[in-house]
Parts: sequence; structure tokens; C-alpha cells
Amino acid sequence: MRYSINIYLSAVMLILISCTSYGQDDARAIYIRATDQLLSENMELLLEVDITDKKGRVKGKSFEVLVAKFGDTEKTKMIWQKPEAAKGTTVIFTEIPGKTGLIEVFTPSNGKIRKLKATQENMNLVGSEAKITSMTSRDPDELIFKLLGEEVVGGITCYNIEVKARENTDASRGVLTVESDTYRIVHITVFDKSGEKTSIVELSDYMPVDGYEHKFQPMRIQTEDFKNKKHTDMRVLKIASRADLRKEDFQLPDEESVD
Amino acid sequence: MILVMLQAKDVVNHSTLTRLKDLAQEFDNIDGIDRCISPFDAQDISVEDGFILMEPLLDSIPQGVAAYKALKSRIIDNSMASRFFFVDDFTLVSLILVKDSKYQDKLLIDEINRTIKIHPGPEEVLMGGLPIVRYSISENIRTDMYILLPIALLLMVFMLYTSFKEWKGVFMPFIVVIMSMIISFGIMALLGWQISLITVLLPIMLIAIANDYGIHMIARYQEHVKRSPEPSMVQICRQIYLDLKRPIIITGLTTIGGILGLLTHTMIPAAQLGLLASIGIAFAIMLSIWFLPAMLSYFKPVIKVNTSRKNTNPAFADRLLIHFSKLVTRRPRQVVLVSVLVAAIGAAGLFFVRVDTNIEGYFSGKSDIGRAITQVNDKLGGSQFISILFTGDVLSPAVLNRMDDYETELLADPSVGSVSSPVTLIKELSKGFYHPDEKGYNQIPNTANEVYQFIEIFTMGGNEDAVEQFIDYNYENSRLLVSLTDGSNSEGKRLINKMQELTKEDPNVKFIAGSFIDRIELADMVVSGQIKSLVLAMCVVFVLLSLVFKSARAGILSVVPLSVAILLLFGLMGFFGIALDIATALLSSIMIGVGIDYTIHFLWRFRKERSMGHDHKEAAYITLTTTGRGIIFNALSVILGFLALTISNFTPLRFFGALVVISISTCLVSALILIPSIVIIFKPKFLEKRIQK
Repeated sequence: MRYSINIYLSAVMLILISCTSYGQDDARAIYIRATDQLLSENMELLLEVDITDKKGRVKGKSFEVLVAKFGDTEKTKMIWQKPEAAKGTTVIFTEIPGKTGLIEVFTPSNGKIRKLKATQENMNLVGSEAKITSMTSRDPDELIFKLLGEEVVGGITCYNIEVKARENTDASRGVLTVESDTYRIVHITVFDKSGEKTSIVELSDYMPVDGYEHKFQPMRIQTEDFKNKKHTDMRVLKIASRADLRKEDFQLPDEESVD
Repeated sequence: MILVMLQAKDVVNHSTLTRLKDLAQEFDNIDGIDRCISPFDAQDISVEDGFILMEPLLDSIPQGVAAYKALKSRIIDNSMASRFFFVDDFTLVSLILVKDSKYQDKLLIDEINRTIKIHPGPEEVLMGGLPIVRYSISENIRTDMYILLPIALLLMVFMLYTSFKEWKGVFMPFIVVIMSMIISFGIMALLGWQISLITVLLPIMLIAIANDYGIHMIARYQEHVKRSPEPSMVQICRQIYLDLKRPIIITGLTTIGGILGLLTHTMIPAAQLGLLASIGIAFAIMLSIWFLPAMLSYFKPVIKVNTSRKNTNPAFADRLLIHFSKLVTRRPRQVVLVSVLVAAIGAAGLFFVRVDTNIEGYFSGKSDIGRAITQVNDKLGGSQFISILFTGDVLSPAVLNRMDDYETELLADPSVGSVSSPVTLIKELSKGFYHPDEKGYNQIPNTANEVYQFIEIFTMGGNEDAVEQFIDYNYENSRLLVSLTDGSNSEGKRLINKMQELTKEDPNVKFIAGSFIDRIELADMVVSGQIKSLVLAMCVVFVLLSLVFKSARAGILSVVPLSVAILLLFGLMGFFGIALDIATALLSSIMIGVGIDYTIHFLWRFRKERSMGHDHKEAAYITLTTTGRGIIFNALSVILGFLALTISNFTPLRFFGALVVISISTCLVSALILIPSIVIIFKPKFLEKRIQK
């Protein structure tokens, strides 16, 4: 699940971080124009996720998600809504560039709060999209863009843009397919260092975001994880801008206050 | 599941663990391996300053004696690591490879072997698990074919030459065998049947049996040459054809009838073997009756072939036959009495016969696979499993507590190596939420929601595979996995009964399953197949002999030596602890089919001698000293053919070879001693023909 949210946020972040580089070249310009439409922080989401494993078994979950940025610190709070047995379970991810991240966990069944160190290693376990996350967390000038060409997807001409970190230690890369007329991202393909396709993220059902004139959000994000042979279908049931989010909104209940 | 084990004096050291890690990483990338579960996946879960420390047990490979000691102590404390990967004395560490069931064993194991070669080390690498056993069986079948076939052919050539002392006597039966093998294997290929552990017996059976008819022809040809002062080869060939046509057809039919008894086996390869061997033997009979005398007539007779002083074997056979003749003519009652006694002793052994279809028992303890099996069973709790499947609210504390009770109860059983269940994992997870002095630490939670939330948090870190070992994707089914240190059928049956008894009141237990259960069913098939084929073969023999001699008494008489041989055979198996398995289950059909021939040849000649006016004792004497020679050569041919099996790679085939030797020898001795004694005592009417003048 965290995997899906990461993909979603990564796609958004990947796009937004490079906004300042607009006009540097064709690929960069296309990329930035596409990113400009997306909301990436200070927002509230209601997500419904179906995860299908390699044997075709489906597990359904839903989450309430808050995302905010306080200075350099990025916080994500996920509260389980479904299934009933997990309702109220809360996880807060805190990420600070250059520092060890923190994962805080609240389990309502026993009222316990526990913390986990969010190392790169355990973040890698969360999902293969971590590579993009690492790219997006850098200065946009550290990213390299390349226009690979055009292709027709669903009757619409799209640009294919390759994005990778300038100092790409593990040589993984992503290819974004962007509609040439609306500049909406259709899908993101991630390749590993050997050039093998590890995942495809499809973004669709774009809707305008209330309160923002030029913001559109994909309401459906489907991910095919080839490595883990897993399919994730995430539907955004609700998205709202939350400029009012404060640090207190990212606190867990006191252990004592819970039975 | 495949187990790859590194064995050394002490495996907790930097180089061994580095090698293990490299192997685990490489195995994970091999197509056909769903996942590689290694000690590096084991999580050390604890609470420290409010932090859940959910760290890999082997995050980094330690160096130095103190670090090794600390790691060993952490391994002992971690129930997942100490149960599944390391043995108590740290002489062995294992990797568990979960195989994609659709992937071919051979391709995968070749790739695993290649990977192991890329990462050499001083540790011995052993591999175990069902796919490895299956692979070893198919590889050893191939080796067996390459080795046993030429050895059996050489033994046959040796036996034929030493028996007849002329190359005609070697060449003729040999060509019959080769041609019948071509026919049988051709049909096998046409039908698209594969060579299995059972059908690997086909060439050996044909080498042993298909030349029997030719042997009688050659023996009779030499008998005529001896008797005739100026023998004409055409006349001799015509005469041997007339003499032996009927007994050969009859013995051939009884052999085919006996072997066709295998068709009643529920095991398909046994039925295939029965059909293919019967076709080969039928073809050999035709060749022996028509082709062999025709070919023989082109040669010149070799006179006095057996008079050479250097020829010790025929002289020995002749001497032996004279002894037998004297024995049966002087002490027929004592012979019958001793035979009854032997049969009675054999019957007592029947009660000790056990059935075992454990394929792990196919290999000797000295072979690589045999040693791997021993290590897995002795040190890692065994590689054969029985699962108790639970369904419903499997995360509820009530179900988990019952599982815990079953686990405790089963672990107390000496045949149980290890028991793993969601309880092990959930208790381990509780260590991440509770302090050691807190209630709840290393315990099953009080609510299903808490269990669910433990698992949810645990899987967030990418540990879904660890959970799926015990609980299915949607937490609707779970299993308790019991490994067996003793994979024998009797222990397995006992444990299954115990599990059934233990869980009979449990509404969440769906069923008890596992490949082990299939094996038990196979064992039942072996027993029922054995009984059915035995009864059918006996009936065929009885009916055929009754028809041939036009007397039911002939049928009964022919069954006597077979019964003695069967009782002795199974008695010996019982006394020596040789199990009835998929190979030895074929014994009775083959023994009846082949063993009855000697009785038929004796009775046929005896009746002829009686018709020539000899009294019973004289007829028995003449029959034994003439036809007896062919019977001995025939039996020797079968014995030597099957003797090759005693060097097989498979334990059941080695036992099978030895038991065929014993049973055929019993049939031979019965036909040469017991049957003559009975006919001398009881003087059955069906052997009385009109006296020829």
C-alpha cells in the first residue's frame, strides 16, 4: 500500500521539483509543464486500494492520507479505514533530506506507539519506486532529462521523456509518457540498472482540484510491479488541498489515552 | 522446496556467511525460484527506547570470535532462525528455495549447481528436498540404464558360453533378446511412455527372461548331438522344434500370464512394464520356436561339446542333478516335509512385512543425496511434511491458542522434527510491541485485531513472504506445518492418526494434507496391487496348467512350488526388514511368471518318460538328468540377468535384484526336488499317458 502512495507522491514530486528548470530544453520544458498541473503537498486524500498478488488474490484496503511539508521536513500520515480489523492503525512517515527518516506506528488494538528507523534499506523493501523518490529528493539540477521521441497512446500523441539522476549511482531510470496536447502524464515506466523494466505506473481519470484553477489530479493510479509480480489499483476517492495542516495534525494519540 | 545446505565444522564465520549471502542473492534471481528464504531474511524483533527494532538478524556479517559468539547467542534466541536455518551445533546452515511448481526440476537444479560452482568455498554443499530427490531419481535411472544394461548383457554372454561352450549357444539366444528389446522399446517410444524407476527394469527382465526359450532349444540340440552317432543338423532342428514347441508356448504363456498380472496394479508404470515385457517375451517365444531352429539348421553340429575336462560348469550341473535325482528317488517324503517346514517358517515372517513408499529410502546413505537426506532428517527436522489446514477466523486468539497446543503436543512426539505455525511468527512479532517483563511479550494477543495489526505493520516492511509461509494472502486460511524426522509409512500413518485424533473437535481444521498423505495412499496401492497381481498370476497359472494337462490337479501341483517360493520370499522380507515398495511389489508377478516354467518343463518331460514305460522313479531320474540341465541354465540366465540389479543406484532395485535371485532359486529347487518328490509319492494320473511302443 505504502508502495502505491509512494508511486503517487513520487510521480507528483518528480514533476514538481523540476519546475524551476522550465525552458532549459524540450524535454525539461515538457516535463515541467506536466508537473505544474499536479498537487503534491498540503493535501488530504482518501484512497481505496486493491492489491492483487501473483496468484491473482485481491486484498482491499482504504486509507485516509495527509501530506504536508514543514520546511525541509516532509510528513505523510496514513490512517487505515479498511479492513475493519486494522481500522485506526496509523503510520506517520517523516523524511528529512540527508537525515535518517522515521516511521511511527500506532496500533489501536493495544494502544501501543512504536517507532521504526526509516533506513534506505527498509524503504527499498517498501517498493521499487524508491529509486524515483531518491531522484526527486535531489536538487532538480541534478536530474538529467532526455526527449526519447513520440508515440501514440490511445490515439493521442505523447512525448517520452527519460529522467535520471545526474549522479546516478545505481543507474536506474524512469521514462515518462506525457500527452502532447494536455501535458498530462499517462504513464511512468521504471527500469533497473540492467535496463529491465521493473514497474509501470499508469495515471488516469484526471480531475480538477477544488480551489486551484490549473491543478488536475489523476484519480486512478495502477501499478504493475514486475519484480514482485503484484498489481496495485489505487483509486483516489477524495482529494483536497489542506493549506491549514499543522505539525499537530501529524501526532499520534497518547499511549495512555487508549484502552 | 529445495534445501541448499552448507556444512562445515562451524558455519558461523565470515567466509561461510559471505558465501551463504552471495548464494542467497544469486538464487533469488534464478528463474524458477519463487523466493529464497535465508537466515538473512530472519528478523530480530525487539523494543528499545520505544523503537521497534525490526532488524535483520544478519544485517552485516560479523568478524571476530567475540562477534561470532554474540551472533550464535542471537540465533539461539531467535526461534525462526534456530528452527529453520541453523542446526544446534552450528555445523550446518541452510537456504530454503521455494520452487515455481511449473518449472522443470532439471533446468532449475542445473542452474543452482552452476551458481554454487561460481561461489566456491571450503564448506560442503548438500542439497535436499523433494525436487532434488526427484531429479536424483531421474538422473540415476539414466546412469542405471547405461551401467546395468551392458553388465546384464555381459553376464548373459558369460553364462551362455560357460553353459554351452559353443558360440552358437551364445549368439542365438542373444539375438533373440536383442530383437525382443528392440520391439518392446519401440512400442514404448511409439506410445510415448517414459522410462521410470519401474520401467527401467524392462531391459533387465528381457535379458533375463527372453533367452530362456532359446536356452532350452540349445540344450536340447546339444542333447540330440550327444545321442546321435551321425547327427544331421536339419533333422535335429526339426526334432527340437517338435520336442519343445508346446512346452515353450506353454511356459511362455504362463510367463506372460504372470507378468500381465502387473496390469492390475494401480501404479501406471507397473502396468506399462507388464504390458511391454509381455510383448517382448511373446516376440522372443516366436523367435525361439521358428527363427532360432531355422538359423541353427545352417550351422554344423559341434560334437562332444560338453565332454571337455576343462568344462567344469556343465559337469557341476550334471553332478548336482544326479544328487537331486538320488535325493528325490530315495527320500521323497523327507523332501516334502522339509519344504512344508520352510514354507511354515516363511509364513511366520509374513507378519513382519512392512510397506514403505518413502522415496528418500531409494538412496544409500553414502551417496550425496543420501547424505543430504540424512542431514535434513537428523539436523533440520526432516524434509517431509504434513500440514494441518485451518480455515475461518484464523487470526482469532482461540484458533491460535489451539494451534499452540497442537504444536506443543506434536513436538513431544519423537518422530516430529519441527512444527511451524503462525503462532511462532505472531509470538515473535509481539516482542516488537511489548517489553520482556510486560504481559503480552512472546504471547498470542488477546484480540484478532491486534494480531491483524501486528501482521499489517510487519508486512509494511516487505515481509509478506514470511507471513505467507503460514497464512494465506487474505488471512482466511492458515497452516500448521509438521516436519518428520522418520519418513517411514508406519510412522507417518501413526502421526496422521494422532493429528486426526488431536484435531477432531476443532471446527477450524479443514483437512490434514501433504505429499506424505499421497505416499500413504501409494503404499495402499502397492499392497492392493501386490495382492491383485498375485491372485491373478496364480489364477492364470492354475487355469493354463489345468488346461494343458487336462486336470485341475496339475494346476494345484504347479502352484505348490510357487507358494513355497512366495512364502519364503515374503518371509525373508519380513525377517530381514526389507520393505514392500514400488519395486519389490512387482516381485510376485515376475516370480510366478518365470518360476512356473521350471515346473512345466519338468512335468512335460516326466510325462513323456512315463509314456515310454519308465516307472516314476526312473522317469524322475531321467527327467532331472536331461531336461534338468536346461532348467538349471534357464534359471541361471534369469538369476544372472537380475543379479545386475544388485549394483543399481536405487536401494529398492538392489533389494529387488537380490530377492529375484532368491525367489528364482527357490522355484528352481522346488521344481527339481519338491515337484519330483510329490509326483513320486502321489503318482498323479494326469502324468500317466498311454505307453508308447
